[in-house]
Amino acid sequence: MASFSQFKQLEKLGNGTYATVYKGLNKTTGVYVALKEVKLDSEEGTPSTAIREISLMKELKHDNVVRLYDVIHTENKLTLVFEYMDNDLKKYMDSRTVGNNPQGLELNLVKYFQWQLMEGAAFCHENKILHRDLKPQNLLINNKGQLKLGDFGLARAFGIPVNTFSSEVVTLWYRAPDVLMGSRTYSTSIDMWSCGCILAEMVTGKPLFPGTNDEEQLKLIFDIMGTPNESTWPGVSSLPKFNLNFPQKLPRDLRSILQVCSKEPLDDNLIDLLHGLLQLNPDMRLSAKQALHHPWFAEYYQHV
Amino acid sequence: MASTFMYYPGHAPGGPVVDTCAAANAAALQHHQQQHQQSHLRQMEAHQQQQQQQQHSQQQQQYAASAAAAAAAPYGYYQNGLAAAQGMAAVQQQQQHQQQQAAAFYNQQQHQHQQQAVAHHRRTSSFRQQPTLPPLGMFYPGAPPATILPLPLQQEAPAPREEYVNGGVNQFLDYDLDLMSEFVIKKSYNAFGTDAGAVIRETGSNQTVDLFTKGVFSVLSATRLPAVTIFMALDLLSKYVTKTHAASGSIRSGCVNVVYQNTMVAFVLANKFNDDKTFTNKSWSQATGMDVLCINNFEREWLDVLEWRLFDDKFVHYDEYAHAFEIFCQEKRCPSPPNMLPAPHSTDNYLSPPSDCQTPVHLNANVYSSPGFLEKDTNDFYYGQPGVLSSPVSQFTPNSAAAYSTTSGGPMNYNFYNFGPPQPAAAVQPMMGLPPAHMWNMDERFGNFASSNFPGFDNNYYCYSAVY
Repeated sequence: MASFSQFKQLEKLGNGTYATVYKGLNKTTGVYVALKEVKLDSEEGTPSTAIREISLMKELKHDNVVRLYDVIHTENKLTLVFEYMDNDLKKYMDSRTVGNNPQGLELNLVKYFQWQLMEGAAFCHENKILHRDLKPQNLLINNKGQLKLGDFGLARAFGIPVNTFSSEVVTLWYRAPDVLMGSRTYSTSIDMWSCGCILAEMVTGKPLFPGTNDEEQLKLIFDIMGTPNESTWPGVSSLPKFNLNFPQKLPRDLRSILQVCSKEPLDDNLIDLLHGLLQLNPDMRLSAKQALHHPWFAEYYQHV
Repeated sequence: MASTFMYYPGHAPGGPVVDTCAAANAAALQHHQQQHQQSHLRQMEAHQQQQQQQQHSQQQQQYAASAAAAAAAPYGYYQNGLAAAQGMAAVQQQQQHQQQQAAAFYNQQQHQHQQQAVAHHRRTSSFRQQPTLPPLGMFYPGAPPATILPLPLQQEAPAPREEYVNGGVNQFLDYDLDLMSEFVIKKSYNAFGTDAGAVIRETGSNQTVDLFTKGVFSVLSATRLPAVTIFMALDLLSKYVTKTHAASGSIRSGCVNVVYQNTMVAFVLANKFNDDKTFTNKSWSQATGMDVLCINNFEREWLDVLEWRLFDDKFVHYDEYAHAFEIFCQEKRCPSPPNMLPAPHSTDNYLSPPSDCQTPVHLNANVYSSPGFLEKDTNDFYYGQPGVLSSPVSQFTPNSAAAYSTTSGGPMNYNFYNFGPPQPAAAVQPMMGLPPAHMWNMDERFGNFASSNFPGFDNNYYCYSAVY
């Protein structure tokens, strides 16, 4: 068990969802770490976010999941010692903005990041853990081009019967349509939708569905992906927030929408993968494992 | 060096805090805690008590103000205090008043303070906001009952208990509350290497078991945890006990408080881990009667002992628990005729290997799942209020009350066990300058029983529990 004095606290890296993150130096080993500090409130006790993040991340040791090294638990402060990462995907993409114009990443890099994202997600799902908050801010990258899933504060175990899934999960822009319509029976597909949104965002540099509220979010999704109905998505009309008065839209051509924001030609495989991840019907969405076998990634899995 | 005392709703924590926590820690930490931590803990808690005493007068003013504001409401302000425990179980009675209570509640100054205090700590984006729950058992208009889907029932469908709907996790329970309470008791005792029969035999009565059962019932009906969370709590409890070897010595001798407190903390952690709707420890404190600092200490201790690994085995035992509960329910619903079990025989159960599903939990009662079992408890200090579940320890009254009345010399040396309605309200009222029909919960009297006021504290106080 580490003690806090073992670390030298350096500059602040940012405010996490329920904590402040500092860069730290392990004085014994000389290794940089990220110190996530959670102030403890005596009325709340240990926050459930911390309990989940720690207990779930302790079980997740994978190249594409940020490593949790240690936990320092004192009377009024909880410090999580994480593997240090140089940047997150959001800041990285922002840094590539030219003037006011967001720039997509090179498709090679997009593919490498997306592959690692799928690897990390697949590992979580194999371990019966839903991340439930995948978005560029929570994907940490380092100077070697590695990408790792971070911030498991909203994560949750699944596999055992669940009774109280909340539909108030995942940052709005990356929230799946079934969840937006109030589904509480989601599973791994909730993360896969987010992965699709992230893929499109890496290609264009802009969020695909930047809604400001639940209704607008659904509208933006249906504008591009088409409005679902019982024939395209059996059971959709029984979702709590399904509305027969949704404006009826036909699916638009994803390639033409994305191509205008990308300097490189978008190939069929990429578009096909996007369609697989952005299936409105959660049962039709690709799983992480399936996505890893998608032809767009052929150059990776053929080398394995 | 220290001992334990049962917490329960309405109990004044001022005195016991230090020693109970220390005792709990002693039990938990036996094999790995360093000596100085104990003394540090005591110092720390003594310090906290001082602080709380300082806050006390301030609080009183606040309470007086809000109490005055809420005077029109029949149950008044203390819906969230001592009445929390009653509120949970007596929802039927209270439903007619709920609107008023809720209005009174949401107008409270104090609640706003709590919200503010907690709010800064919470995440910023709206979807992550953990609701600041009203006291457990409160009518909770913020809950969206309309959007909660009925849950698929796994066992035989229990009679729906919609009348209990309040701020709990689940609107519809997937189990029978009475049966689940008894199941929890059974499994908790099992985790500590004993069973209800042994406890009854060793203590010479079934009081502790009854009280434990009522306490668990009360907490479950307030929190409405899903079955899976309860099973996880029991699983955690058994892991924790295994790791600490806490199941030794005094715990076997019916030290119900240690079992109760650890079971409650298991609920806290399982709820925080497994449910999207979680309660703060403050709410847990109101539901369980345990002091919030004690819950915090227990929680930290548990996480340390379990090394935060609440999901290391992916809860592989879930099916076993679900199955055991199913069999338990069948057994309770169609029990073998009770008169086939001679009394002396049944208390010998604990000598035989703990059988999973056969041990009768209540030997005397023979009333397994009827809510009516409350009414025969004329010793219960809530006896005057049928249907009101109170403290799991009210039966400890004589001893502990004696401890207080003989040792507390301050102005507040009324006997808090007489605290149930209706007379106690009258007794308390002049002292606190409050309108009638108000019942104080622990917070107000906090600090009045500072341990320093108890010269003979240790000797008197631990009359019931074992000493480490």
